[in-house]
Amino acid sequence: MRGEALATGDGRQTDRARALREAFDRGFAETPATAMAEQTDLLALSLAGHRFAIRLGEAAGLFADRKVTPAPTAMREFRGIAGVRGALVPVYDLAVLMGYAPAEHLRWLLLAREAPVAFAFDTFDGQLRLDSAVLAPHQDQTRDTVREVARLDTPRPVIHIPSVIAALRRRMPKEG
Amino acid sequence: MRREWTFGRKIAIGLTIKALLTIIMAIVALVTLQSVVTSKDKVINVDGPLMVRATQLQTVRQQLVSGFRNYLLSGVQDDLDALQDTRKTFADTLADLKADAATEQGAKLVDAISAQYDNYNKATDTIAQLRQNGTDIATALAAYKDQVTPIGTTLSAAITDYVTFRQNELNASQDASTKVAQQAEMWIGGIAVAAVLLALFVAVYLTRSLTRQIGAAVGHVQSSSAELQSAANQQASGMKEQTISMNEIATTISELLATSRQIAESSQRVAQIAEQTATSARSGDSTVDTAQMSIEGIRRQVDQIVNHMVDLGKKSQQIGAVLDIVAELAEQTNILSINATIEAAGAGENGKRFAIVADEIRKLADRVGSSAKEVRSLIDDVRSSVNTTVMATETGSKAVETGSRQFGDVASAFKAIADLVATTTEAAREIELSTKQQATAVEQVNLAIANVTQAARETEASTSQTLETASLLASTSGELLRLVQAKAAA
Repeated sequence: MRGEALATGDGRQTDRARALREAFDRGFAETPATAMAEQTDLLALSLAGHRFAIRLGEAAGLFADRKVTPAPTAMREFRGIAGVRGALVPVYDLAVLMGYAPAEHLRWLLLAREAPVAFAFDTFDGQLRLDSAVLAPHQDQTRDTVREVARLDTPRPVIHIPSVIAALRRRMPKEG
Repeated sequence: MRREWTFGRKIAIGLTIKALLTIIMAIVALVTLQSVVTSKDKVINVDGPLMVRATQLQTVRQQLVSGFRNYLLSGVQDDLDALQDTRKTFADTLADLKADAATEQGAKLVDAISAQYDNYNKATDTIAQLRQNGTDIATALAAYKDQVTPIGTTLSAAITDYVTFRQNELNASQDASTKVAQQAEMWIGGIAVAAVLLALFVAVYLTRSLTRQIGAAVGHVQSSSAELQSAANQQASGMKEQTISMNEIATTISELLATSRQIAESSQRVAQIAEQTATSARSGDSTVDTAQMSIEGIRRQVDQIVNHMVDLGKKSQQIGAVLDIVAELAEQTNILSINATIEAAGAGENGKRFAIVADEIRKLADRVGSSAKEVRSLIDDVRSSVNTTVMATETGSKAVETGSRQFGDVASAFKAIADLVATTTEAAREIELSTKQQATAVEQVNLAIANVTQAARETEASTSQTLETASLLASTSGELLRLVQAKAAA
C-alpha cells in the first residue's frame, strides 16, 4: 500500500517536471513577433491590502531584501537610501504616496526607469502578461497617478510611475 | 350530694333525710307533748286539789264558826263533839296543805293559817269553858264576840289570802301549761313546715339531679349508639373491602405459587448453565494467557513503528530545509527573469528574443516556486501525519500496555469467575430448594388466606348484627331520653 502511494507520488512529480520542461522548450519554438505584439507586461503588487499593477516598461529593475538606510527628513514617504547597481537612490514608500498608511516591512524595491529613484512596497504578487485589450482607462479621475485599470477577476488599477515621480517632484522643497 | 353517687344511694339518702325529719318531728312532738302533759298534770294534780282544799278549808272554818255557835246556843255535849270532829277535819286539811305546800310563800301562808287557827281554837276553848261552867248565853256570846270573832276574822282573812294565792298559782300554772302547749304547737308546726320544705327540696334536687345525670347518660348512650352505628357501617364496608382484598390476595398468592415453581425450574437451569460457564471460564483462562503474549508482541511492534515514525519526521524536516532553499532559488530566479525582461525591453528589438528566454525562465521559476509551495504543503502534511501517527502510536502503545495489564486482570477475573460460578451453582441449588419450600409455604398461606376470608365474611355478618343492635340501642336511648326529659319529647 505504502509502496503504491509512493509510486503514484513519484509519477506525479515526474509528470510535472516533464510538463515544465516541455513548456520551457515550447517557448523557444513559438514565433516571438506574434507573441509579443498584442501583449503587455505588468508587475502585480499590493499596497495596504489593495491590489495594484505597474507597467513593466516603467521599471528599471526589481529587487528583494535590499538594505535601506534611513535618513532624516520631513517627508513621511521618504524611507531612506539604498544602493542599487552601484548607485545610491532615494527610496520612497509607494503605499504612502498612494495615500495609504506606511508599510511595516518593505521587502521589495522597484527602480524607476524615468529617474534614479526607487519605490518600496511589502507584497509582490508576480509578473502578469496580459492582452492589451484587458487595459482600460480608469473611470476615477481624482488621482492623477492612476490612469488605467486591468480588468481581471479582481480589477487592478495600474500605477503610472512617471506621474508618481512628477507628483513627488512637485512636493520636493525648492532649492535656492 | 356527690355527682358520682348512684341513683339508689341518692334516693336512699333522700328518704333517710325524710325519715330523720319525721323522727325529729316525732321526738319534738313527744317532748313538747310531755311538757304539756306535765304542766297540765301540775294544774290538775297539784294546783287544782290545793285550790279545792283551800276552798274546803274556808268551808270547814265556816262550819267551825257555825258549829261553835250551835254549841254556844245549845250547850249540848254532842254539839261540842261535832265541833271537835270539824276541828279534826280542819286540822287534817291544814296538814295536807302543809304537806303539799310546794312554794315558800304557800308554806308561809299555811303557817299563818295554822297560827291563826291555834289562836282561834284557844279562844273558842276559853269561851266553851265558860259555857261549860254555866255562863249564860248572852255572856258567852258577848265574850265570843269580843274574843273569838276578831280572831275568826283574821283566820278567815288568812284563809282567803291562801285561797287567793292558790287561785293565782292555779292561774299561773294554767297559763304556763297553755304557753307550753302553744310552744309545742309552734315547734311541731315549724318542724313540719321545715320537713315539708326539705322534702320538697330533696325531691326537686333528686328529680333535677337524676334527670340531668340520666339525661346526660342517655345522651351519651345515644351519641355512642350513633358512633357505634357509624363504626359498624364502616366496619361492614371495611370487611367487604377486606373480603375483596383477601380474594385478590388469594389470586396473587396463586400466581406467586406458580411463579415460585417457575423460579425453581429457572434455578435448576441456572445451576446447569453455571456449570457450563465454569467450564468455559477455565478454557478462557488459557485463551487469555495466549492473548496476553500476543499483546506483548504487538507492543514491541508498536515501539518499532514509533521509532520509524520519529525518523520519518526528522527526514521530513530536512526535506523542508532543502525545499526552503529551492523556493528561495525559484524566487531569485523569478526576480532575475523579471529584471532580464526589463533589460530586454530596454534593449529594443534586439532584446525581444532575450525577453522570450527571460519570460520562459520566469514562468519556470514561477512553476518551481508553486511546486515548492506544493511540496512544502505536502511536507507539512507528512510531518503533521507523522506527528499524529507518533502520538496515535504512543497512545496505542499505552493502550496496549493498559490492555496487557487489563488482560492480567481479566485472567484473574476469569479465575474469580470460575470460583464465583461454583458458588453460583451452589446458590442456585439452594435457591431451588428454598423456592420449593417457599412454594409449600405459599400453599399454606393460601389456605390461611381462605380461612381469613371465611372469617372476614363471618365478621361481616356479625357486623351487620352489631349495626342492627346499634340502631335498636339508638332508638331505645331516644325513647329513654324522651321519658327522662320533657324537652326531648317536645
